[in-house]
Amino acid sequence: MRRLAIIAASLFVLNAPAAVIDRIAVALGNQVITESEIIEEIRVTAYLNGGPVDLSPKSRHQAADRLIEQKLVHKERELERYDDPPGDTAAATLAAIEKRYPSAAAFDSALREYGLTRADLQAHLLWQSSLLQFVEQRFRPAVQVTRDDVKKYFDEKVLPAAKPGQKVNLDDMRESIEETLTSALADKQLDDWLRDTRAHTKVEFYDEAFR
Amino acid sequence: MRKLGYSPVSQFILLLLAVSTVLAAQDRPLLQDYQGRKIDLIHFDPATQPLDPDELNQILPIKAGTPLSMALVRASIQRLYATGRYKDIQVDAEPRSPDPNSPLVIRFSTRNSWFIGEVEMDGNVGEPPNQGQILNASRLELGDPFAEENLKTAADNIKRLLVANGYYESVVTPGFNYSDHEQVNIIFHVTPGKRAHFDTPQLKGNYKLTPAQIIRATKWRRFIVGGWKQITQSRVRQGIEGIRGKYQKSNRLLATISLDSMEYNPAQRRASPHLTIDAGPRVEIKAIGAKVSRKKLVDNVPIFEEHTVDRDLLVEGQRNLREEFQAAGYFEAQVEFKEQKVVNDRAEIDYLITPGIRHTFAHLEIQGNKYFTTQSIRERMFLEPKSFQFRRGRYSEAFVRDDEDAITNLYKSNGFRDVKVAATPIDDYQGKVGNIAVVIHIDEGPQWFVSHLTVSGAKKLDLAPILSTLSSSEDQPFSEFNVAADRDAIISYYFQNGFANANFEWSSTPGVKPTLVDLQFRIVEGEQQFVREVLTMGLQTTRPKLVYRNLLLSPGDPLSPIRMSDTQRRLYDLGVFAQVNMAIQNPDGETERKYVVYDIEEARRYSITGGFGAEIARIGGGSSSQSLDNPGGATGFSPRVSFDVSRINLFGLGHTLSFRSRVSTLQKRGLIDYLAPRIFNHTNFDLTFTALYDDSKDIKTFKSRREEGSIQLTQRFSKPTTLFYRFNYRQVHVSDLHINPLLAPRLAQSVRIGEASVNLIQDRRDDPTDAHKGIYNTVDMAFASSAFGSQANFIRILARNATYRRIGKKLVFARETTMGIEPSFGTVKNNPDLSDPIPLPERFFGGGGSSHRGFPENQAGPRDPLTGFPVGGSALLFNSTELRFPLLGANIGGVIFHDMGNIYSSLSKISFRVKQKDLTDFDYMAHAAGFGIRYRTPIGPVRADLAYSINSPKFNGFKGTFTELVQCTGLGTCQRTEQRISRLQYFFSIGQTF
Repeated sequence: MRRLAIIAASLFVLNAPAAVIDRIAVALGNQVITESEIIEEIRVTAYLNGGPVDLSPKSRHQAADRLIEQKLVHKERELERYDDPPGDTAAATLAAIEKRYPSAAAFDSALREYGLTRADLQAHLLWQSSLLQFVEQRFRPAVQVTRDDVKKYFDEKVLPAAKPGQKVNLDDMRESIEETLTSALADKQLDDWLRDTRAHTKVEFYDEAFR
Repeated sequence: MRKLGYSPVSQFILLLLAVSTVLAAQDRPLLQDYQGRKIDLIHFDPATQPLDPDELNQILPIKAGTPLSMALVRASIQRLYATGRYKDIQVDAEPRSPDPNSPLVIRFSTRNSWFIGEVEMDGNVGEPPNQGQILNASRLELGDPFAEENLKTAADNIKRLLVANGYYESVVTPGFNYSDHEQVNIIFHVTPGKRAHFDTPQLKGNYKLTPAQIIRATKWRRFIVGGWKQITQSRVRQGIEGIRGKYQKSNRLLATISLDSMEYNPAQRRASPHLTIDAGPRVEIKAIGAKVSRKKLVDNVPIFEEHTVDRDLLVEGQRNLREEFQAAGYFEAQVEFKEQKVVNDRAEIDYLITPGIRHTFAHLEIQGNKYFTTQSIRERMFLEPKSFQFRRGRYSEAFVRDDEDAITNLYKSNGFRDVKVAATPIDDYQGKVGNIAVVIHIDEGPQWFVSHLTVSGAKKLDLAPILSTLSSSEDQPFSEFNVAADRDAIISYYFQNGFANANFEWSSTPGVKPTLVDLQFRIVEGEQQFVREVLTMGLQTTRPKLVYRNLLLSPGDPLSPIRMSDTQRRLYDLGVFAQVNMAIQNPDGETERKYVVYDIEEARRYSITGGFGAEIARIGGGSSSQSLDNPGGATGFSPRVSFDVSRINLFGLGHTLSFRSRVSTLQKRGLIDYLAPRIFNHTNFDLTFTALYDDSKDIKTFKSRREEGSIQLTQRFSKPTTLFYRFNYRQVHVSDLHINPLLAPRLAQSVRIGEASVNLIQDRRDDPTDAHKGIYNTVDMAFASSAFGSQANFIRILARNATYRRIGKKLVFARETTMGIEPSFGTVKNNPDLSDPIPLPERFFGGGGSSHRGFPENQAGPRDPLTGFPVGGSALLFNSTELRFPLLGANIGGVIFHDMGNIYSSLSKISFRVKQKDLTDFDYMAHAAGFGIRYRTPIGPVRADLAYSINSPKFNGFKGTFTELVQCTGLGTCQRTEQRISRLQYFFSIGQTF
């Protein structure tokens, strides 16, 4: 009996193990991305896309890449002292998402299924509006769309896509084409900047967090 | 199931537990399960961390006794990593018990970062490259984070350097070991192999010269002897420059030479350079419309210097030529250039110059200035009306623009924000064709002042010491120049006190009156950094105490880069270290306290130097001990050799023991001295003990042998000012006296001198070996007394003042005045009847290349009435003036000089009289003038001087031997001959005269 008691006690202890709750996954410069950040990024993305949570190494790497870009943008915003986006933008988006559910409890339950809280989702939404604002402030002012660019887009993209008989007029569409081209060019500049900055930043992956 | 001896119930329970354990293992608690649970304890693994427990507690946002928050765990990891002291961090959580609400034990498992410490090499590598270059090639910097993968890159860099210097077979193997304070010491094991030689270069391209000409230009082959030289990086580079120079001489300024590769043949240990050469066309530059020398074209058109031709360089040449002409008086000169096409391998560039009328800049006037005087404005201007120095004045459009800007900036920096400055040239000034005047009109406008200054943001540092020194304080003129200066002063002050990231912004608002301004300075201090500890490495023989005494930083001090540099300088000043590298460990880490690291390389303890030299002057004559011919000196040649051995850092205390010797036909000298710097821990005091043996005949009158011991205390008051306190005791033996035989017995006695002296030196010259400006003063006062065991009592005071002044860009006017007196006093104990003249060797002697060039060496002043040999005096006055100028290129200069003065028999005999009264009168002022050539070498100028004396002394001499003199003196039949110091004197030696 005594032996049984000892074995039972040991098994009880084994039922309450020490768990790794977080670790460094990526180091870039003097910043880090932790494993919990990667997992949270996967969960939020899965929730917003309505898909399953995939914690495979490949998925972790993809999430890490997105977070690396996030960190680089954050650092640049800090260095250049860009303004933070207004908090109500993210709050409004969160409210709009909540409206899809019959009740607040249902919303919270849906989030819990993905291992998320409202704060996690709101933080993600806030990051998205920060990124948009960064692009607005940093890259959009330098983008110039000429009349020739607009015409070219109209000829190559709009006209071929028009339905037979549909009347499309360049002047009517000029403003929306300009907006489309400006956004595209600004995004391209963002991509170029990200690629360039990442090339100049020492990034180190810690294998343990990607297993 | 295997029989365990348990009852079925017990077995069932065990099975349930085992299954639940497995299930539990598969379904690890989600992080949310721990979220919000109380943290009971936080500990670290390993227990010894790179940061102190206090620091860790300050850094970590997660605290024991509070609920676990994943956001705070993340932030903790981030903040620990940002300190730079951690390489990896993992956080575990373990409940105290299986109870779902039980508190948690949080463990941080860490792996710390390492930082680069000493970087060394072993292996015998013939220079070049030297050890410093090899270690620099590794690009491993002291204090930077260490990564093992970087060692291979570092070894490759070293290998690349060795290969570039001909060591193709070198092997570089890195090794490292971990040390304390998270430092890694790295060593590169280098096996260089044998250095390769050049081989015949392989040429391709359109090179137009013959391969033999190209190879000759490289100088890679040995001259006369033949064979190829060894490869070094600098030889390769010089060889390519040599080829380029060859093409330039034939005006092929567009020639391109590139080294494609070095093909190494291991069997022969030779490497053949593969060169691609394109000679390009000949570029002819011509000046049309005015005569311009080739030298002026080369100086002004930068295509020669840049070895290429492009439009920007030609435009710059156009501008330079125009300004050159304007500076010569052609104020309306126009210059254009025209590039011709390449025809028959020739590209012509013509500079079309229209000089215009030659003007003279006759008059400059400044109007409207009230705040600044005309003189203070003129000092800042380039424009210069005609004068002795500038025959046509100095004028050009560029000068006008620059002067307008300079005057505007002068006013603006003194609060005149609205100043307007306009220069108006006036042609044909005062009706004279070709004369130009310039009138500068200044409209000063109102002066703006600071009515109120507010400084905000200074929370951690007290700004009181600096606020009173700011230029932008209340009631001071307001200008952005002053604000910029204040910004620099404030940021520098923060920097010195450990605030590496301090920021400064300023703004202004209108004051209560129209020309008043309220200034606001805002400071963002950032974090202050402190010294964690000062680490020193590399000491092998030096006692650590010697280093620690010179550290200006202690743990807890603000991290001041200036104190770090001052410490480095003090360590260098000890004179026992070849190199002192300093760094902050982990410079980018976000920690408050940092290690300051000094990596010290001890200098070689022994140094041996040898040298040789020669003197050619009137130093000969009377060479045999008996001959009394040529008391005024005859042409002589005195070769000399020197040999010195020093042992530094004796006993690891920074002391130095030296032996110095010098042997020539005139002198044999040996000296041993022991230097103890910074004696008794006083940085400004050094103590020196010296023992000297000297046997010389540099004064033709006698031979002297001296044995001397001395002790000297040196006190440094400031950089230019040093005081020496000295006591010396010497015995001087005199022989081979060439004087009146009746005086010889007394003066031939050896004499003991005990003397205390003080010497002050104030040296404010820009370059002690070849001064161009500054001042040099020295005063030496000595007191020889029987109280010190001296057999003669006298005081000696010798003062020297030299000034150096530039005249224009190239001339230097130098002057030196020396005055000395040496009165004797009292009588010698045990010899009360003796009037005790100052012993011969202790008297003043002068004349020669370093004092008065109208005399041969030590030939000035009183002379023996019978033999005519100099006997020295007890007063001296010399003055030398020189005008120094460049003669040929940068290294050959000339001087025109005038020397005057003499050695006098006593202070009361000093006179400015130029005529000698009779053959026994030497108390007059001798003058000499002449010229000299100076050739600048790394150790000072080599000089040759030729002087002509206007009033060299006449004296009685004796032709014959000393024995004959004794005989005829006894008989009273001595035949005196009238002689004269030659009017023409010449000198050849190393170093400026003064």
